[in-house]
Amino acid sequence: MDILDLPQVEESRRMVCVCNWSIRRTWKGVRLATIIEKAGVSNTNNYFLKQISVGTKEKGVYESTIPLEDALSRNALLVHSVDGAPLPMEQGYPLRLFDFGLYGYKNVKGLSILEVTDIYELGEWERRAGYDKDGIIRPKKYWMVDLKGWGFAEKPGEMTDF
Amino acid sequence: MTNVDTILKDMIIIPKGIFFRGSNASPDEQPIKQILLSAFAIDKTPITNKQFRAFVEQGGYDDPTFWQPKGWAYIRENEIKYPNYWYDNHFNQDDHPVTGVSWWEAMAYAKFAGKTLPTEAQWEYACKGTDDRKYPWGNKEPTLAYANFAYDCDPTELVRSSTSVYDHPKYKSFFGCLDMAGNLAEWCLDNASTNYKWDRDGKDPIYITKDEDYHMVRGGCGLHNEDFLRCTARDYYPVSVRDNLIGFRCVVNNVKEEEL
Repeated sequence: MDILDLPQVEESRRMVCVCNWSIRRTWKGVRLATIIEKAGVSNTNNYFLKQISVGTKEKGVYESTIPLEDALSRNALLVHSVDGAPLPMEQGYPLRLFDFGLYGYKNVKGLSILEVTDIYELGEWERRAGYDKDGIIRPKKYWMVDLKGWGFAEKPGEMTDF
Repeated sequence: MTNVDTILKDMIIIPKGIFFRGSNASPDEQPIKQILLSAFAIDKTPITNKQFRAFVEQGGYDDPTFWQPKGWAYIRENEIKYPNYWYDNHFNQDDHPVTGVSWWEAMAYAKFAGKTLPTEAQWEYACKGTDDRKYPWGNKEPTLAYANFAYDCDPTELVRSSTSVYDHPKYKSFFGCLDMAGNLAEWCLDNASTNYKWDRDGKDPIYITKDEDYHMVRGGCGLHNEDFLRCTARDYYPVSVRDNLIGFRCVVNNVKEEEL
């Protein structure tokens, strides 16, 4: 199954880093729901999605696990392009799952494997630096890189006000 | 020296006072309110790696009496024996602030030292005093000569480093504290809140929910931009975070008049 042969979507959405910055960009890819349906997964409740990166010699392989049903309800995307060009390496080339309700550290760059699992494991940044396993974007102040200014997220989850 | 003298060494004693907490710069800093604080003493600098070494070498990570029960469970479960950047030469120099410490570790060290963490209000008062200055050093806009921070939250170096707590001696806070802005944010005693509406009377305010809930940090860090350097700027993180963004300094409360 080639990602590019599946129905494509292009959406303007805001990604948020746990380090208090954010950027709205136009992301292109495939809905996670499409992939899950193709994989024949019908019962998504109480299951999780484990992402495993391609990895590099310097940094090794990264992993992150997120609740599957939540990701589906937030219209998560498997992204291959941003602003009309392939994802750059620093953004996660060739493919990155984006659940836009979660901080970027929950979405591994250079996605290699997606596994549906019933185990909610700690990921790289939770193990390495103690960040929250759920990774939900918190209500606080973020530097909007695209707007060159500050925005205050009033509620948890995906930032749609800016 | 008496025990009190020892504890208060390298601390700045701040008499009881009144100041205006908060600002109109961000919704989380509002409403602005007049605050009355009792006298306290605060560390002149953040806790350095050299200071924290005493805790590590004297068995602080093996002695449950310094730890809150959930903090003790956290370090045992994760087999934590020293700060996360203890062996990283970008952050582990003697006179650099200790980092890679969770809120639990900051609290344990404070207890070991006979101190505690500052409330947000104490931290802010120590920073800006009574003249409503924007930054700890005054109102001049920040440059890298003032503090270790990142323009546009985009550090110039891919591999960042902390700086010495004494690197910017010219820019003391209102009461004389060093290194309050930038370098590392500092854990506070308060739990996270997104504004100050919880504070009814403005007397020695502190916002407490549960130990394990998110906690406030103050002062910005080398990864954050100039806005976080403001005396009133606020941020918060999970208590388990051991990233190279956060350190801490301590306070002593109930400072008696004869010590002033």
